[in-house]
Order: sequence, then structure tokens, then C-alpha cells
Amino acid sequence: MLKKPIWIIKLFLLCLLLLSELFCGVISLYWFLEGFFQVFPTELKVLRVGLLVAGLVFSGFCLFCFIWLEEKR
Amino acid sequence: MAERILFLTIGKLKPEEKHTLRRKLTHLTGVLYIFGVWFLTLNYGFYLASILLVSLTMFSMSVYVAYNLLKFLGFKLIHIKKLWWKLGSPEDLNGRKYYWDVCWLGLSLSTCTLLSFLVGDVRIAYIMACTVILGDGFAGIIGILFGKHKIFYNQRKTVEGHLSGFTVAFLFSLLITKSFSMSFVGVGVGMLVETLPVKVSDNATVPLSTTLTLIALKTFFGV
Repeated sequence: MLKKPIWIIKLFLLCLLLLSELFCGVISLYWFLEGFFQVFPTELKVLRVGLLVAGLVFSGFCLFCFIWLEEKR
Repeated sequence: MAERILFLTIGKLKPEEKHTLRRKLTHLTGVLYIFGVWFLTLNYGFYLASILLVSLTMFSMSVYVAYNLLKFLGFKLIHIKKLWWKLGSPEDLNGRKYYWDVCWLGLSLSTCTLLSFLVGDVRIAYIMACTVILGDGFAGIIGILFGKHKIFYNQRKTVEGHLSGFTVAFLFSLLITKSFSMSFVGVGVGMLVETLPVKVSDNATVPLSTTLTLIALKTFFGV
């Protein structure tokens, strides 16, 4: 009976993982191209890198939850 | 002669050991990441180098996640499955198939490189990458081919493998960073964590433990 909701949660987690990875990829490529042509202050660089770390940690969290659910099967 | 010994040794391996050997050889292609950090930092600075590497890694990981998503939805992707098999995925973890090793590696490499930027020390990124790519890779390859003595708290790992993995990673780290203490401690902690019989993928635990130890070392001891 619980099979379907868990399957949907796992699908949701996989989609979140894929979207967060794509988002991190696109935003970091954009920031790379932007930084390639102009110089930014260190504070802004640190803020951007901090945001990227947060995005990657979120991806890791989604992956961890997905694997945890897989192992509960 | 050496080639013949190697050939005979590989010939005697069990199928699952051959599969692990393929996975470890694929692991070593991560040397490109170390080269990427070095080349890009030299040309564009560490900030641009780290975010470009994150971008490239995340796009590659997305392909792998998309493949697993399609598989989860019930698509039969035989050719891609065969390709992944040839590259050594999935990992055999205590008798069950583990598909997420590649993802953990990409995520942890990217996160640790960015953390190294936040503390302003590219050496941490080099040492972390050398430990997880060369240390783990060589430990697996030498362990499978020539390993005789099992580590007493983890019967899946060998002393010979880990000593050779530590030596290779340490020498490369030392060569790149010129810092004996950081290389020794970073690689040492990473390889020690590698031997622990934990359920989480070593591709996540090794880079994180190495990076956090080196950040602590830099913060508290100013190395």
C-alpha cells in the first residue's frame, strides 16, 4: 500500500537531484563567463562560491535521501 | 617478464575482481581533474578554475543522473548499461549493486574544491584530488593484483594496496604542493578513512575528510 507514495518520493528526489545539478552547472558556467571578462570584488566571489557549495550540499542531500529510501526497500 | 606476470595475475582474477579493476582504472582517468585544477589555476586563477570545473563536473553528473532517472522510470537502456559496465559501474558493495559512486565522486570533488577556494588555499584541492583519485585508484589496483594481507578491521581491503595508494598519492601531492606536512596529514587521513568499513561511499568520505582536516590544520596551526 505504501509502495506508490515511496516511488513518487524517490522520483521527486531524483528530479530534484537532476535539477539542482543542472542549475549548479548552468549558474557556474554563467559566472565563469562573466568573471572571464570582468574583475569582481572578493566578497562577491566568496558569496557566489558559498551559494554553489549550498547547491551542491542540497544535491548531496537529495542523493543521500534517495539512496536511503532505496536501501529501505 | 613484468608484463607476463601482470597478464598471469589478471588471468587468475575472479569476474567481480576484474570488474573492480576496471572501475579503479576508470577512477585513474580522474587525473584529468588534477591536471585541470593545475592548468586552469595557472591561466585563469583559482576562482575561475574552481567554478569552471564545478560546471563541467555538474554537466557530466547530470548525464549520469538522467540515465538513472530513465532507468528508474522503466526504460531499458541496454547499450548505455553495457558501456557503464565496461567502465566498471556499478560497484559491488557487500554483494549488492551500488550505482551512485560516480555521483558522490563528482559532488564531493566539486564541493571540496570550492571549500578550498573559500579558505584561499589551492594546495588543499590538489591534495584532496590526489588522495581520492590516485590514492584510492592505486590502492584498489595494487590490492587486487598483489594484495596478500587483509586489514584486520576490514577484510575487503589489503595492507599492500593501501600502502602503495598512500605512497603514490603522497608523492604526487608533495610534488605539486611542495608541502610535506600538509601532504602527509591530508593523504594519511584520507587513506585511513578509506580503510574504514563504513556504509557510505568512500568517494564521498575520503575527499571530505581530507579537506576538512586540512582546513582545520590551516586554521588552527597556520600550516
